Amino acid sequence: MQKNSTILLVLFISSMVLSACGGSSQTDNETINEDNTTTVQSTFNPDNFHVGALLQTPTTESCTLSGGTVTTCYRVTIPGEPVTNEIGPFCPPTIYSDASEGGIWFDGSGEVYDIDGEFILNLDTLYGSDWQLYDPDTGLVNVTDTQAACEGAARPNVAEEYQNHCVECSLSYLESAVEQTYLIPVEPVALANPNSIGGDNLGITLNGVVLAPPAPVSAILAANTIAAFDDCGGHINPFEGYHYHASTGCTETLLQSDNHASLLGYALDGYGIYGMRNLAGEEDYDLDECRGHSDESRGYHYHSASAGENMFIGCFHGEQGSLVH
Amino acid sequence: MYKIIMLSLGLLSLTSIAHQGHVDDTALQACVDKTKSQSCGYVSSSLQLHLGSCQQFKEHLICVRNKPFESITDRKLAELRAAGEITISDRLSKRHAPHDGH
Ligand SMILES: [Zn+2]
Ligand SMILES: [Zn+2]
Repeated sequence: MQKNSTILLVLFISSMVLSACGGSSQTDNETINEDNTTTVQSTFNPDNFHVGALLQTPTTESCTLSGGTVTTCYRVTIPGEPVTNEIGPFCPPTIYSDASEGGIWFDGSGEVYDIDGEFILNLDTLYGSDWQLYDPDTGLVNVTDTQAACEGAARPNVAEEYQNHCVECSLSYLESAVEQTYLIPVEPVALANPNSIGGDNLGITLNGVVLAPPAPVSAILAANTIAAFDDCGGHINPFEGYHYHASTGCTETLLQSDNHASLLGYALDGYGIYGMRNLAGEEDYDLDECRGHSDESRGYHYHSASAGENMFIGCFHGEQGSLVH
Repeated sequence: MYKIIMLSLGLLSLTSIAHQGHVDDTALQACVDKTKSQSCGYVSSSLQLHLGSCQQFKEHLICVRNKPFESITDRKLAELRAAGEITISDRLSKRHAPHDGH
């Protein structure tokens, strides 16, 4: 009962704060306690999203979480593409292109590469002598620049004609709208043993994009392809739309009032996901196996891994909400 | 779990064949023969020590770091290699210890 009234107070106060700030709050959900101290909640707060990143005002409804708990969830619809920046670029047009003409690549080994012309030129050194993603006569990079090529290269068994390609796709190739609707618990339900991420999307960002599990780099590289990411760590799958595979800082937009890392989005279990480092550039020493921890201001929350690790979080600390089909 | 490990091993070896050993899948190799939640560690090609636990992502067990990055020296790398508990990126093999494997 005490908890419920706290939540209501949190919601009420945050909506007041937002009306005052014209919808772009730079603080988290805050509760003023009886002793005049302030408690910040890191659980899902629709008001933390960028303008346009939620297609409808989230409503609440009864939902069943992954562990069978029946609770209340927000129904959240995101546009599926960032409202804060343009998508791309992904593949550089030539082997002479500079880094501004291409995106980035990470293969989970800890490294993040700028995809410029030189990167394309040196792929044989990085991945093997059978790699050549360009025409040596013209210097043009082999890019999947049609819908057929994109779809042919984005499948598990890449057709031979699309091997040795830098893969990029357009949202216009998708048959339906890229918006997605999720049910996310208003109050997270912690698990005794964390759940694995599996192969499904694991959360959403404050700028309206889904957080995907690690990119299947082994399969991508096995076809001598580079499924280029843009500088924000996202790319377009012709069947699923645009999604992020890692955080490069683009989405870490909600500054915290203390030295803590900025909020970038929420996992499907309703816990907040923050950047990897605090404002002093330091990482935390007390993260659990999911890359989460608790503090007095935020309660339980996650910290994203680095882009070179090709992931955000390690597992779910709480029961997950779900994608609404 | 055993099946998953064998599947991961199978995928790893297939990938290795396709790429003549050039793909740096150290984060996966760090969890070969391990089970979910077991401790793991690896050194990336940029000499960063990653310490964490093995977590399941679809068919792969991947070493998920939960300690801050630690830049290590060649000397520390040699010590880790000798202890044999930390997976070392293939890309560091030639440079630091040509006869060592993992
Ligand atoms: Zn992807
Ligand atoms: Zn924190």
